[in-house]
Amino acid sequence: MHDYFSIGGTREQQLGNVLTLIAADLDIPDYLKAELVRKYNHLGSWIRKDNEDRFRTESEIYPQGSVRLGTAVQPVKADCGYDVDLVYLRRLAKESISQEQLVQQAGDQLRRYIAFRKSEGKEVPELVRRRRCWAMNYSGRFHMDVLPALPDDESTMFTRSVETSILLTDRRLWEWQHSNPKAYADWFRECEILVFTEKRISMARAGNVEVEKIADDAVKTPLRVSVQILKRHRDIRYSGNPDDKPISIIITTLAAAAYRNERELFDALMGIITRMERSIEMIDGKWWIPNPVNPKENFADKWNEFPQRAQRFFDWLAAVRADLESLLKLSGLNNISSSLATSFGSDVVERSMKRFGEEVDASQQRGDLKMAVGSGLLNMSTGTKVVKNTWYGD
Amino acid sequence: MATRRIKPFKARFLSLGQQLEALMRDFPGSKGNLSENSRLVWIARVLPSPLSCIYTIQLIYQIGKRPTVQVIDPMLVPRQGEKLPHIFAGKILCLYRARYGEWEPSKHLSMTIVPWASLWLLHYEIWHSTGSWGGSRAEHPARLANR
Repeated sequence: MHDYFSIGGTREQQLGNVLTLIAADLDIPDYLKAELVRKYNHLGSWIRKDNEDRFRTESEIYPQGSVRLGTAVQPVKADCGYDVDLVYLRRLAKESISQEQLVQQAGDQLRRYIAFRKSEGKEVPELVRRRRCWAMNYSGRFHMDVLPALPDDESTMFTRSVETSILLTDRRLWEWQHSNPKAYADWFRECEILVFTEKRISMARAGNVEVEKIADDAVKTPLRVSVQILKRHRDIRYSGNPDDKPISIIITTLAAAAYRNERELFDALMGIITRMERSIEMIDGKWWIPNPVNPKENFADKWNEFPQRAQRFFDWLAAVRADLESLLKLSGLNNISSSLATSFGSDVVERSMKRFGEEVDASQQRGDLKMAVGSGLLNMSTGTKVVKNTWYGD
Repeated sequence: MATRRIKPFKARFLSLGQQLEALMRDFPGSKGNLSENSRLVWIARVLPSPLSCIYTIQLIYQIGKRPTVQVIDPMLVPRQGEKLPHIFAGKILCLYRARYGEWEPSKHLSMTIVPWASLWLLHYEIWHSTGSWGGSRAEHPARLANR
């Protein structure tokens, strides 16, 4: 389904279409997404049974972050694979287990799961302990971070969805870390609810299926695409300097808060860039970007520790705006591609432009391509039908 | 059945005047004339996509010959180290294959050659950024073959 492809319209619309193709190229492809879901569901049910048998506790594994939101982008080094965050929630009381025990038990379970998979002759990931999680590395495809967690029964911080509040471990910190990825995802979706609902219904109609059959993360709203474009721009700009790059949660939160349910990608993107800074606060000389579902959590706490990170964020934001504005001043898809390649990477731009050409060709073969009289503008709604032809010559 | 195939030649043949009239109607800002030897020359500005360059193209058509389209401005340029694709000598755009009857004197230039020229220019701009021609129905002549 290529509901995002179209040709013609205004310069802004056409640029939006090209940027949408770029984001689609960087997104997790459907076959990998299916594999990913299969993998974490399999792990989830194995570990659920293990917890019932050995600890008589309930557990669940679910995705959080970009995979849950539909804003994942391929890393600049494509062979690194997509970053996937999974919450591994065990229904245990905080008093019954220490952070270290929770992490060790999770590690023990994952090792046994891997041994079990190996005994079945299945591909097994490399397992590495990290600061807040166990990383399962499926080479070239996914980096699955499994975050051990407990329910946060005492949570008073979260004004909503207390039942989805969780506690996470952190090797460097004594205290359990409060989190609520499900409530965050709900908040994110509320920011785009009008366009999300509209788009989901139109996708269901186009595919002739029930609305519920369209997966949440399959609905590529202008907000989600904007977040993907912004993250990719950041990744390219700071590819040599990953420590100081603006973090995804900040970009995602500020973008969602700034989104006004614009229907066109380019309008959404420019609107977001213009309004993004408004959710950044300065309180008692400290940078504050509150977690929308936990106002006591400051996503910008590191900016206060490393002031150059705030500067990097503002520099980056100015650069995105300048890059997008300069695109609008260029003429010639070839010149626009060169400029896009500088901002988003030459490989992805080349693939997206190739896709663009193929889509135009497909619309001609289907009989949908037209040429507006007076201008010669190719489009899909008005003018002379572009009948089939054969390109001859060397 | 046999009688249906016999049509007077004239009825399937558009005059230069008819061709030019249709071109001028579709592109009111264009310039065209019928000059010496019953030759149609038509010059128009074409913008293939909102992000494209504006091209000035020249179409020349003489009864009994292939209509030709050239780009007057801006000049077509090859990619580094590559030749322009789908082009004949004299930088004439290859827009159709005669043997398939895609264009015949009975067909309006404005409904065939002109939309193909616009699409050629779009594929040309994309070719510059990808190195591959986006049009799927592409054929290449064998060496020294007649076109």
